[in-house]
Order: sequence, then C-alpha cells, then structure tokens
Amino acid sequence: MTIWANDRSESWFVAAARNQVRTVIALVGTEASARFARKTFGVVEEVGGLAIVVAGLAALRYFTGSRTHHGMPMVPFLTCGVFIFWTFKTTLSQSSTFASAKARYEFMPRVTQLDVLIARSIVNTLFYVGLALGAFTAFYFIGISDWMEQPFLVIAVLLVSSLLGFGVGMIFGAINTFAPFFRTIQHVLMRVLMFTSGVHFIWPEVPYMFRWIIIENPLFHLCEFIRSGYFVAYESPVASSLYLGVWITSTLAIGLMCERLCRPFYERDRRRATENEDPFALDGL
Amino acid sequence: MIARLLKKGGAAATLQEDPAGFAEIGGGERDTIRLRGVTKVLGAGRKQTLVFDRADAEFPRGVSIGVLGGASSGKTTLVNLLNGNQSPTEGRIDCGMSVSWPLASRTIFTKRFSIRQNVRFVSAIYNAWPPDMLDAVTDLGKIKRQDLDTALDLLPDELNTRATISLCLALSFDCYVVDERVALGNKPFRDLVQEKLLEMRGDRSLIVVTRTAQTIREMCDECYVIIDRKLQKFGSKGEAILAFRGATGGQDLSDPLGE
Repeated sequence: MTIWANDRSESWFVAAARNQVRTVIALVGTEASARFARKTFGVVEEVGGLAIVVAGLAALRYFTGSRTHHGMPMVPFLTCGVFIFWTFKTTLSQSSTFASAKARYEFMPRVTQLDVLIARSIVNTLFYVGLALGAFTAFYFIGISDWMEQPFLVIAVLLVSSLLGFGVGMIFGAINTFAPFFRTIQHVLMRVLMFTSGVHFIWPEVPYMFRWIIIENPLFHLCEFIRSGYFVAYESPVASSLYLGVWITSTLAIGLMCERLCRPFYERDRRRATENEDPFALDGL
Repeated sequence: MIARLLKKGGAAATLQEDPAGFAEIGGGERDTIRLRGVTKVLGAGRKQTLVFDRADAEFPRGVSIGVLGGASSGKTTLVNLLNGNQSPTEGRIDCGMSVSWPLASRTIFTKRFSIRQNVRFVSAIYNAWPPDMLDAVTDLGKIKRQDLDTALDLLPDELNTRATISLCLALSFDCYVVDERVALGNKPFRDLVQEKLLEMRGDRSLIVVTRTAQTIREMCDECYVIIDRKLQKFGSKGEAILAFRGATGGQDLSDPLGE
C-alpha cells in the first residue's frame, strides 16, 4: 500500500475524500466535454434511439388494441418505462468500461479507475434525467398528458435506476475482465430485460404464470414506482422500496469490491525502452 | 492497516492522539519517501512480470537522487509507484511529499482539448487556481495567448510539451520526478527547465530515473541502481555508474561521452 502524508489540520480520511471529490468534479466536466462536445449528432442520435423504441412499443400496443391503461396515456406511459430502462442500461455500460477508464488518464496519479467510472455515470445520469424531464415537460405543453403527480419521486426513481446500473455495471465489468465473451451474453441479457422489466406493461397485465419471476426483477419495481409518481390514475400494488434498497446496497457493495479487485489487472506494463532501441536517440539531453 | 488500528484501540483512539493520522497510520516521516520491501508484479495470468522484489529505498527532501536502470528494468514502474499511479503488490511506500507526474510526459494533456481546458482540468484536480496556472504556463512555456484555445492535436507537439512541463513546475510539488528525459522541446526551453530544477534542489526533491549516466553526473547528489529487481544504493556516483555498467553487461551504452 501507499501511505500519503497530508496537511495536519485535517484527518487523512477528510483529505482523501476532498481529493476524490475534487477529482470527480473535474472529471465530470472533462467527460461531458469528451462525450458531447466533439460529437455534433451524439445527443440527436441518443434522443432518436429513444424515440424509435417508444414509437415501436406504442405501435405494438396500438395495433393490439390497448391504447391506454388505467387512464394512463400510451406515449408518456411507455416513455416512463423506456427512460428507466435506458438510464439503467447506459449507466451499466458506462460503469463497466474498466479498460478505457484509466487508460485515458494513465499518467494522472490522482485519477483512479473508480473516479472515471463515477464521473461517466454522473454525466450519463444527468443527461438522461434532463432528457426525461424535458420530454415530460413537452408532453404537458403539447397536451399529451397532465403534469407529473410527484415530480421529485420521478427524478428520484431515475437516479435510483442509474445507481442500480452503476453497481451492476461494475460487477459486469469485473466479469468481462476475466471472461471477455460475457459481453455477448450481456447484450442478450439486456434484450431479455428490455421485454421483462415492465417497460411496456404494468402489474395487472402480467400473466399469473409469470408473476413469480417478474416480481423478482428490480427494474420492474422501478417502472412501477415511476408510473405511480407520474400518473394520478395508477398506484402500484407491488412496488417495494425495501426490495430495491437491498438490491442497490448489495450490487453497489459487490460492484465496488469487484472494481477494486480488478484494478491491478488494468495496470499496464508501460516500459517503452527495449534492447533494440537506439541508446543515443534520447532527445532532450 | 485495519489490524494495526484495531490493535491500538481503534481508529477513534488513533485519530485522537494524532489528528492528521499520519504518525500512527503511515508510520513514516514527513518530507521523505520510503519504500519498504516493495514487490511489484505487473500484468496478470501468463503476462505476469515480477518488476521489483522486496526493494527498499529512501528519498529525502532537498536531495537530488538518481536511479539508474537498464532497458526494461522497471524505471517507469518505479516512477508510477513513487507518484501513486500504481500500488505495490506487497510492501509499503510511505510518501511524505507531494510527487509530480513524470516531467516530460506527453500524455498528461488530452489532445482533443485545448491547453486552456487541460490546464483547468489539472488545476482543478490539484486544487490550484486556474488563472494563475494559465499565466505560469504562458510565461514559462512562452505560449502565445492565441494558442491557448486551439485543440492540442492541431498544435505542434512542442507546445504540448512546453505547456505540460510549465504546469508541472507551476504546481509546486515537493518532489519532481524525471523519467528518462529532463525535458523535451527546443534547447533554450530545455536549458530553462534544467536551470529551474537545479534552483529548486535545496528546497525540493528531484528523483531522476534514467539510463543515462551523464544526467546522473550533472543533476544528482546520490544514486541508486536497479540491479536484480532491487534498488541498490552506492557511496558515490562513480561507483553507481560502474555497477550499472557491470549489471547491463556493458551493452547499454547510454552514455555517449563515456567515463
């Protein structure tokens, strides 16, 4: 281990926490700039992707004849579910990028792999929460739906979804470190989750034979919560905050341990000189 | 560390005795970097390489210390261990000073961003005031104001180097680490950097990790040599250089002038 001295006016823990907070704040700006500034169509692409999914699911429901449910208009109903799933999925993919996290800042001693993962997840969460609030406001002004019944609950559920994605992402990142083929399984898993997490259905619509398994999915609880917060007409009979709390605490704890265990595997051998290198080619002297 | 804390009556008791926590938890001296039985293994699985095997060393403040090592002997790994970029696999490093990044490193700044953005980012991390750092970079690195907002990949490499080194010197670290090269860039700038480092020698530490004996002769007071994955200290620079030559089998002719 490396033990650092610090200013005597503050404890080592406070000094370390301050350093980490400062680093994460600095990284949030840099990562946001890296993600959006140079990619003109990046935001448009992400919004377009979401719109296509909502349109596809809306068409599915429209042609099956179920245009509203429990008084919930179809487009906001689906948008709520899609935002929950997308926030989870994208945060998961951001926080599982162990290989590229430290590589970009490989000679910055104060930037750790975890700092970069946290910063990327914060950027992603802020982006999707902002986008969701923008979409919901647009629905209100266009006249598609009423204003959210409990806006703070809606925001909180989106943040919790991101937190869940962050924990699960670090676990997946660790699995990818030792079994790179898991990335393919991860893609399949995401598709299965997309259709089993309540993105386009609610509890009363779930067939009795599948209820025992659907209720185990934490994303389903999140979808139920966001709809209870958004619509006056719906109150979920099954959503459990305790169940979600257990999931989030355990995935974060396991994920953080996995990240710390995997960190040495991404320390590269950065030796540049080789026996074949011309010893007289050292410029600067 | 946790075991040690528990043995001494818990973290609360320890922090009460020493609010900074350094004396009990670190156990090391201030103004000194000490490596104690440091073992470092890089890579994993079949790519595992043992770079250091129970290496010990001490780098006090105000002394310029050279570390000589042949090709692939672990010089860059040592630099990474010293500045906290990597942790030892076993053993302990007591770090009583703030340590810079390798002075001539070209990868500190992100090429997609401008010098201004990069300076702001690094200043934020090191809790420095960005306008002051920008002034220092433009003054010391002789960088024109109109170049500050251009993306680094559109500027010559020379400007990147000058900006990185200037910022490193402006951030006022307790210990500066030089990995192989003191500075890149044009000769007046290299001379300026070398002069600045020599000026700082009484107050700050300088650790020069190189395979060039001439640099050791010009800049260092003491010298370690990396031999058999350990850091060996020698009484004089001459002895160290001879031992280094012996260890590299005379093949590493990195000193163009010779003895």
